[in-house]
Amino acid sequence: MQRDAKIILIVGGRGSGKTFFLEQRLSKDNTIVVELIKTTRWAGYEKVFFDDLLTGKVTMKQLGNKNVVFEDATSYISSNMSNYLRRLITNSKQFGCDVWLVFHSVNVVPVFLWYMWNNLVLFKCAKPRETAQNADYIDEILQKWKKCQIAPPYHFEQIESQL
Amino acid sequence: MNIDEIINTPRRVVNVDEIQLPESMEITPNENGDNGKENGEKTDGENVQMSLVEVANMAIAAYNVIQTAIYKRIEPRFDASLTPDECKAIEPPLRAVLAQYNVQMSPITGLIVVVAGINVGKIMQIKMLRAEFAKKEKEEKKKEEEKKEKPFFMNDETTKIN
Repeated sequence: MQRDAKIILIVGGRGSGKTFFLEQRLSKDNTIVVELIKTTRWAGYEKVFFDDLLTGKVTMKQLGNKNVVFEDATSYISSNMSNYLRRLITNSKQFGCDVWLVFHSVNVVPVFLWYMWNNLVLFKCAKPRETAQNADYIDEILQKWKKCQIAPPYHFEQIESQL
Repeated sequence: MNIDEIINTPRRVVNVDEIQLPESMEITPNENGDNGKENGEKTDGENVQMSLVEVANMAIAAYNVIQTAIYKRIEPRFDASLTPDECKAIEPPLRAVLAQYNVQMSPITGLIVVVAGINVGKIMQIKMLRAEFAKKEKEEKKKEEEKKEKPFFMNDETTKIN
């Protein structure tokens, strides 16, 4: 049985265990990590600079059929992002990419992603606020958020969208 | 599907070679394999050989800001999508281009859109205007340096010393 490519949001505050969660699950062969700066995280994984993605050094076709992790997406994925990046995320299904977007809070997830996400993995983070876009899911998000807040470190909860 | 099910279920494989991207997205590095950056630094105003990739990105970013402003009828801020250095670089030539379209630019708040209809092609003129500005600045700097370097007795305007 095969499935379509997914858009997965990983949301959690600093040090909540997001990178560790992904490193445990994603294979090094099939994953590309998009970073702003070169870090010591993701040892053994293929890494690209976000700037290289935008300037064409790394093309969309090179990301095809892979897990693409946008580490620290809070910094560069917003409602005012470039069309190039927006198209990559919107057409990720056509490229066969699973897009993993790492945010620090539910409140910084851009508007357009609320219409396209498939899964949300929630760690300890700031209290989510209800907006027009996440209104359908906010009750479930708040419920799971409360569980994360009182749970031990690195605990996470999962939410699936109806899409 | 939860995360573990997603990871354990194989994804449908796509033939990416069949995908055709529009021309604006087929941005490739130049012949040297870089995109105009030296040692990871951006080209400054003195080097007018800005890479097409950088110009295209600045133009697209500026175009997005303007289009958002037109659509939302708000006063856009350039620094929303451009770095401070890019804002500084793009402001003088963009002001000249936008003047042709009756677009006024407030020096304090950024850009106030007065008329719509600015297309990316026109904004690409920024590259040429920027090059002209940079050339002028370079020439003026040269003149000033030449005046400073020459001692007064070497200056052609003074009388010769016997």
